Amino acid sequence: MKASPADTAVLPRRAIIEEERFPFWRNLWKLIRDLSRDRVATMGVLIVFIVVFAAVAAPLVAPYDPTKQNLAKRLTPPSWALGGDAKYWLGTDQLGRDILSRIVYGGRVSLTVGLSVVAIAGAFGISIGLISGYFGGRTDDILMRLTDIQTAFPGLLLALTIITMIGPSVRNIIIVLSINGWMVYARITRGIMLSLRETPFVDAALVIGCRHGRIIFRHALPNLLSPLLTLTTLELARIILAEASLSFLGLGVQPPAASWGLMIADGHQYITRGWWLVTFPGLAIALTVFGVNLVASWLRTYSDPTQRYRQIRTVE
Amino acid sequence: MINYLIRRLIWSVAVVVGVSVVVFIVTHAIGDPVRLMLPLEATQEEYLAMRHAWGFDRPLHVQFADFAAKALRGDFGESLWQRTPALELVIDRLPASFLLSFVAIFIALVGSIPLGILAALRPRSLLDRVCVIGSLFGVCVPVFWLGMMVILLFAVDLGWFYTSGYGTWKHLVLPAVTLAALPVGRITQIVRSSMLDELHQSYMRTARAKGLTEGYIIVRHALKNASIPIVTLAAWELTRMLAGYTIVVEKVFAWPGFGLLAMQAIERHDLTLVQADVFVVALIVVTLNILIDFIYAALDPRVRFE
Repeated sequence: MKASPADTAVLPRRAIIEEERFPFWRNLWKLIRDLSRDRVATMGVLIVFIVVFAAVAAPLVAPYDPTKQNLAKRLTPPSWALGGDAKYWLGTDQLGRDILSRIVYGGRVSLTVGLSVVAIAGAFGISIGLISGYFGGRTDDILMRLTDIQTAFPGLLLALTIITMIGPSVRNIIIVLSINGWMVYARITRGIMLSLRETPFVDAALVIGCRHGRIIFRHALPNLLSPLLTLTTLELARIILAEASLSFLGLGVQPPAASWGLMIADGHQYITRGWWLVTFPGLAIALTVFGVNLVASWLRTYSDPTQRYRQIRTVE
Repeated sequence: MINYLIRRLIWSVAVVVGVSVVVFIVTHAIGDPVRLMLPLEATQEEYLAMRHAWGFDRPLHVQFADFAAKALRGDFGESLWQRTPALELVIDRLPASFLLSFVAIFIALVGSIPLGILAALRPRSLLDRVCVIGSLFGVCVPVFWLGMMVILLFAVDLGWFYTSGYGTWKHLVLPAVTLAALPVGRITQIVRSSMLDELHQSYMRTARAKGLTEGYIIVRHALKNASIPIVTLAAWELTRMLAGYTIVVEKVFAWPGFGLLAMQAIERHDLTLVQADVFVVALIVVTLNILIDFIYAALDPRVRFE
């Protein structure tokens, strides 16, 4: 179309079009604005941000090498406590390693495991759910039966058995937790897909000749993103806790590397002589999971306005 | 009704069979059970001798047929560690685990229902916020860490209860409370949200208009209708406890249940015992799931067994 002088007269409309071209930035801006109004959610995002930053920049943040022993300084209490050393803020463990540095590095394990499991289990579970919900009928029956059966498995015990056989390591923890974690994605995705299947836009896409794969991934999946984002965040919190449990049972990272669960397991036998060995890594887990949960609950209320009356808002 | 029962039973059998197959594959095909059970310094001859003695040199399908036939009769073989039938060892541990889990779920229900109702009655009040944040903390805190913290406070510092072991109520209190923390958080949240839903219903207004007292309306009308998700969740939490969380809590408190037994078996590479343990837990989970369905139907007459 040729540009005519009249076009300059309808500048506002152009501005709208400009804006439509960047829905992502506009949405992000809306997101940040909504977030800043919600103090609880801001706290959650802040906690998550700090944990992620500490884990990514661990060598810069941690005051010491997390595996460096200093037997002369073993079981030093936190710097503010009686007998504390100002050089070790959170004290040292039974081998004289700096607790703070170990916590900072331990965050890497939690986040690596958490994000990998969420990615693997999520991708698998969501695919199963999409297929099951879209095709329905026998496919749905079989896939959902399998999902049900696996949901009824005693997950932690099976995870323990598998790790006993294949040996403890971070990679193996990711494998077992992914095997145990995909079912919830499949269930929820299928539920939403079933109702999406009945909406006119799916029929419309079929009529204009879209293939099933295209309808599932290009048409249906984007509509599923916001509930799935909430679910994924909640699952991330759950996985971080599960990783800590497995590490606590000695089935994750092996010494001398640090992970939060392992630090608590190590501190277990020194519990009467050094409360700080157990207390601080536990607080790190609890705070991280707390932060992730706050973000999840905010995402839920943000993406679903009908849930707003449940929101824990500190600002009306 | 009969049809429904039969279908549930078939489903349960499928779950138990599924678990056994997975356990078999994991223990026989993925790893090498003989290597695991032998000490590190064992020679190749010893390895082969043991492989033969235990029948691990037979084809996998033969081993599975043998395993399945014996499992059907409840025979998992002898525990390597204790030299007695593995299944008996697991069954000996059942009372301790059941006691712990049932007391924990009881504590959870008694604690969370009043809290959840109060929070729902005064949404956005101070109590509501404390409940919501508090229950979120219950969900966030790692169970094993919480266990150690209560040991530090109530057993080491105050000396009210015992740090670990089994026998009297003084042993029971700390592990049960620890195990209850997570369900308290979750059940309080569901009580609050389902009560919130019910309190907005029009039958509440009708009941008030009839002149019923507020307490009666809340307990007999709203709570009764809200009870379906609550009971379902509580039963589900009990299942999760038995199938997992007890392991960690039993480990912290040295509580002699089947969870601790599983950990001991794993540490000693006692595969027969691990298999028997997982099998028994799977049976318990399946039975509980069927019970949940029945409770569900009993509470809600609209649910028909189809």
